[in-house]
Amino acid sequence: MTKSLMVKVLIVLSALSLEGMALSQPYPEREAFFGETHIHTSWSLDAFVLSSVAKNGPEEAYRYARGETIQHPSGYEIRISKPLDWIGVTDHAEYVGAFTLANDPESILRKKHPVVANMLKIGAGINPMVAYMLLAKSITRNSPIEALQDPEVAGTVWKRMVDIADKFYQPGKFTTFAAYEWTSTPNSKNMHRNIFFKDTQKVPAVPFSSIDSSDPVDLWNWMETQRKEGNEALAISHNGNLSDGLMYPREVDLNGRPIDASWAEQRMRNEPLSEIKQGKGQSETTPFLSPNDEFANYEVMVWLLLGQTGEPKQYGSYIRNAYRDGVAMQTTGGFNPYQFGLVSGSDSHNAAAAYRQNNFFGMHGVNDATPEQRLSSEKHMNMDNRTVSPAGLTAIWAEANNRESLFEGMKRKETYATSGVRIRLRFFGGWRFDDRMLMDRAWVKAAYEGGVPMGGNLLPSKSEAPTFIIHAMKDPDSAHLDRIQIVKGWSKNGQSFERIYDVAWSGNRKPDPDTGRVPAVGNTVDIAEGTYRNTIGAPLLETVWTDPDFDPSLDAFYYARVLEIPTPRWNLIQARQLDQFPPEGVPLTVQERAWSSPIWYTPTETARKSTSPVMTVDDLKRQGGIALDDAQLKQLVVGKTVAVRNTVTGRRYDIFYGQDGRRLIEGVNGQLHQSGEIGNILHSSELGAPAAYEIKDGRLVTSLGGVNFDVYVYRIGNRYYAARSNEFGYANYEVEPKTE
Amino acid sequence: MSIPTLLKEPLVHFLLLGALFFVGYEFRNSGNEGEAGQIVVTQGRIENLQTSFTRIWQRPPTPSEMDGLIRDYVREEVLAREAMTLGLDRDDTVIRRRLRQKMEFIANDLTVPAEPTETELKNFLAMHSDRFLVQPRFSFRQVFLNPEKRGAALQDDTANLLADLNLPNATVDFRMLGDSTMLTSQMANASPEEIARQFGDEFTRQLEQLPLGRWHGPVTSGYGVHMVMVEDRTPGTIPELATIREEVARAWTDERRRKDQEQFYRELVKRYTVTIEGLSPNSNALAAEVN
Repeated sequence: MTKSLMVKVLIVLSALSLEGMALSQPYPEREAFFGETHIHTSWSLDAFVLSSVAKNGPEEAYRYARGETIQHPSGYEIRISKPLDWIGVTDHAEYVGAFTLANDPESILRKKHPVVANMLKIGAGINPMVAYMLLAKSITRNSPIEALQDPEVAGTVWKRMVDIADKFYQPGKFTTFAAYEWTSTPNSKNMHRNIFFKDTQKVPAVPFSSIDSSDPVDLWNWMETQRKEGNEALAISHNGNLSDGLMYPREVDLNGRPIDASWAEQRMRNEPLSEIKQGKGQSETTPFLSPNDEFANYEVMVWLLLGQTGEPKQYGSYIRNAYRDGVAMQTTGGFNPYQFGLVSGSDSHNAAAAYRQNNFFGMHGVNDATPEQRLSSEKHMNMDNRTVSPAGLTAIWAEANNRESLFEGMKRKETYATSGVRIRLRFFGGWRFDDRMLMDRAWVKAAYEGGVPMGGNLLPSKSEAPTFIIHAMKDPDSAHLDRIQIVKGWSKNGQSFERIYDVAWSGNRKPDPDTGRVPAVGNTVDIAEGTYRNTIGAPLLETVWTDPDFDPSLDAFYYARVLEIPTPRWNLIQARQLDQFPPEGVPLTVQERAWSSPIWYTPTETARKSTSPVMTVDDLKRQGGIALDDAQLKQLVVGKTVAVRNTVTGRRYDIFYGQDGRRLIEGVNGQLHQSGEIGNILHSSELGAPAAYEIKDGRLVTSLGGVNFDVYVYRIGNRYYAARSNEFGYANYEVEPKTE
Repeated sequence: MSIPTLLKEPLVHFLLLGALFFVGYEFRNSGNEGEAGQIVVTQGRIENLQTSFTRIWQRPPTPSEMDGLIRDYVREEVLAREAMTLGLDRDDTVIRRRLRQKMEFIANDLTVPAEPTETELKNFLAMHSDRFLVQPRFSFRQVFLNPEKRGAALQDDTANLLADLNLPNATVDFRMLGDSTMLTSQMANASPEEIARQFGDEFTRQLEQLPLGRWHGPVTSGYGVHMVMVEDRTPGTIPELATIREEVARAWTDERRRKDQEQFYRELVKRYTVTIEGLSPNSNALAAEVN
């Protein structure tokens, strides 16, 4: 090597290492990087048939995400409101790119399998929608089309997807991930997962699709094989709300196998995240599941995949419920399959998503391309376009905007989800956070040192109750903040509970002395104009909060929810633009929000033992308890009001079992009572609203939201005890026929 | 237009090729495969059938399969000719779309523009400078006041803070002043896009107008008000062609291809007089535009 060349090499090397250093740790206290976890391009079969003018591929998706103008699938120009920091394009793996290849004269599909290619070619005589339905049916009937499964064909598309991701990757500025969607849809129930790979060094030749298997356990097994081969990946479950109770099961999995420690561990190893909001609704909770949450009635989507009729079941479909079941399983079985963090996404099929109410251009190609279509009551596959909403965003706290750092952030669950706005949210849990901590401008450093960030587990207790720092800053281009809430869930004797605390809010509002609730912030939305003003709310909210009801013997989780003041929903804005009356039956305003990943508390074995003695079904049997048969059950309850005491909460429910197979809760502790905390039993939304019941096979079966709950009653002497099927073998009730 | 330039013109290519194509077609039709009322299955056609069969099935056809292919070809030829005689091709959208597509493919292949010259690129860059603009850069410091916290005192607090910050020998660290936020207190050499990501659009828009080297305020943002000192400002520039040559060449080629294709269509449409009937109030305007 000549001297001058060597000098040049050295200069280049040192420049590289300097740049490398600058890039590797530019944010020692981590920065919130906003990105997209869920988007489809025309390489997804369904998105292809929804694209008329522009067949956007992954290239267009990346261009749009980094701020360039692209075409909407129906032809007009669209541009993102603010460029993203990172994105994973998640096209459906099933026959991915088949249409694209069939329409490319030079493609391997055309050369190797011309018959199939011809069938899928545009203008070849077959209507693309028919072609799509044929392909979709071949998947659901488990008779895949071999030409499209040919590893050479599928491998070509996947390699192209990975290459494009690499091409657009600019470490430090714009991060792309190799990713795809595993589209498992047993009986039209949504079991979908998005798969993200840490890097592209050792990605597989072809992705594992739902044609290979629609059982998540098989997906996890495949991911573990990948990991052994040095290819790190994680899965993000999404649209629990459309899963009809399958996404977060409590007792048995898809194949009827009981959920146990190994199932839970495998799920947690592979699926650290779940999507809480996207265009097709939110999966946090519903007014039915959380009747005491006044903000639960938000973007609740009632729809089943492929337009099946009926309403999806809510138990097993929503995240807050899953968190509660998770801590209950931790208490009773020592495992928790639902210790996952939160992300949001779009699920747009346009290769581009709108994240704001004021630039919403739909998400299903030609089906909702114009304001007229979006506001119309016409349905596509049973979906009402008016119930669709802009995309959610995911923030990852990471040291740098690159694949490694962001992926580690996702694995650590140091993520939070928003409804699309860029609220900045810090959330830490610890034992000795001081009220004055926030006065110090270097508090973030101290918080990392003295506690755990969102997604973490509280360290063993060092004081009477855990303390939390929550700091939220508004999106500078969106509305002011209304309040910060802590959603707490805990479990006791197989039952789980939830409670919402208002912890920081704008203005001088005073919490209600009885309920602790802070009154509504008000509303500045001008319905006639479709506008709002930031004259209420606050730009910044922060607090150090101590759990006032902490019990160190109980498993618990805490997550933060931040709400903006009410702003116009897209349907109001677009109806105004068309000079129309906004459609009825859809909210005109919305409170945009952010949800942090939770922080969990798990008691030590010593702390756990300090709980009061409990009764299990096994205890009852040992003490000579006899299970009532159908006739005895009928005699005990039918046509009568019985008093049922929940020994965990001490509450007494008066339940009237009618002759007509309906039961009515007449009161709690003798009165119609709304309590601040909600258990998984007989919850207060049932008050006054009858539910169906049936006595059969020695069980009293009550149907809540389409889900059956079984009660077994045992008699010891002249006392009656009851156990519910969803309380993990605990007998938590005493039953007393009421004598009036 | 000189002959060499003319030879570069895509339209000329197209017309030449079209003429050849046409002549060839005529020749083949009349000479080999039969005039009206005659169908000749040539040796070339038979080989053609054989190759496409082999490509699909990965083996040559058996003699009886070959007979079948030829029989089928004759049937297709008879029915296709009769269909065309009846004009059935004219109203079929699929056939029309396919023909249009074939035309567009040909046009696309023919209109590959030549390598742009240096002058062409320079002119292109000058005409589309906004597309290649290097964003301006700002280095600034900021101190934030939260209106919700300050309430009625906001105006006074702003004035006092500004005065303190601009004191000639200020010793206090500006990062300790104002209300605490997660916002960074200074940014160096940042583009408007980077700044807007943290401070929003409203704040970013105002930076251009601020004086250099001293504290100024209030600058409003979605959060509240800020005192800002712009330390340095690099205006947006049009980069030298040499540094973005490839990018400009790509854009030039894209645009040239689009223009050529459009011109192509324009030339063809000249052969027609388009009349638009019907209810559209725009009929006349539309016809004028097309013509």
